[in-house]
Amino acid sequence: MNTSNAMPRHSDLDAQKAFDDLWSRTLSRISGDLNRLIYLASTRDYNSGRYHHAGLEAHFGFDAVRRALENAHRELFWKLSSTSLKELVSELELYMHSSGEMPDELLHAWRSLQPYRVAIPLDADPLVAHLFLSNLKLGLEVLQNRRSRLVRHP
Amino acid sequence: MSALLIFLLIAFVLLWALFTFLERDNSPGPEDTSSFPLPSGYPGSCDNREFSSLGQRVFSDRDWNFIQREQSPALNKLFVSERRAVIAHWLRESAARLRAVRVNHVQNSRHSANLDVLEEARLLFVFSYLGLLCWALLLIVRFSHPSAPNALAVHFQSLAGKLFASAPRVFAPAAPDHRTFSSS
Repeated sequence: MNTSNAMPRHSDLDAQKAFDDLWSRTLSRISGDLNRLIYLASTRDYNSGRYHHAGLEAHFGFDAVRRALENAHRELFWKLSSTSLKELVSELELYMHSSGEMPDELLHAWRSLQPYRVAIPLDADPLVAHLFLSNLKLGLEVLQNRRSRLVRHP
Repeated sequence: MSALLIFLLIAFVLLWALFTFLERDNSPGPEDTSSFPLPSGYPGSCDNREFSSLGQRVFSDRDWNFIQREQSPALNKLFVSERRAVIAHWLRESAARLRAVRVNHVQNSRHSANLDVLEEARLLFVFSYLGLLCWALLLIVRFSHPSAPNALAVHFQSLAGKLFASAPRVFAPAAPDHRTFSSS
């Protein structure tokens, strides 16, 4: 049931302001949608599934910030899920370079531990989540394949 | 020889009639479309447009072309098995949405005072045809390449899309639109 009518209107405005602030001050400074998605997933508490951002909460309140983070997370998740495999591989490369980790180590960890599973929003459509995970798995294998080829033919 | 030609001509006319019949726009008028809720069963579930675009995405050969350029048989094999699984998921979801629309329509029809028998027969035919297409797609994807039935998938989506768009609320409760700031 959509309960938007029961909520005071200023609450929606605060959420929108928090969303705009989040994009202009934080997300726009992060390069790549995958980086942004991982950042947003990291603002979510593992145990409760609630989103937190101390700086934004001080200005806009808990509820507005929670909804802003939730919406940004969903939007980016949908965007990445519907992107082509080629673009996703570029996103993965960008993430790998900006993480500061050794590419081989990161690839090994991501392929075996699949930490990217935590990047899925709590209420994501199972079909979209399936496509996202499948594409990421394929993207990682593409990168692994390229690295193996580099080792064989430097 | 002439018997075969006549048979082919009749078959062609029947097929043309069938497609014309099925492609008939059964969506409501523009003023009604916006008021129809989407068949979303849980928060975050795809709306019709997103669901349809997912279908186009999983059947398209764009990703396959990209994977082929990597020149790795293992990668090709992984892609086929991964895409098969996603397509099977999409088809199961499509079948579930179709079932829900059909059940909802049957329930509504029971309370309707002026049933149009021809329209009901046409809808029954459309539901059966879409169910059959779903199975055919599943079989083709299972035994050939995932992007092989692309044209058939487009036809299926076009028909199913019209049906979903014209269907009243079939899943409850409806999901809030996640692109707006409605509280959940």
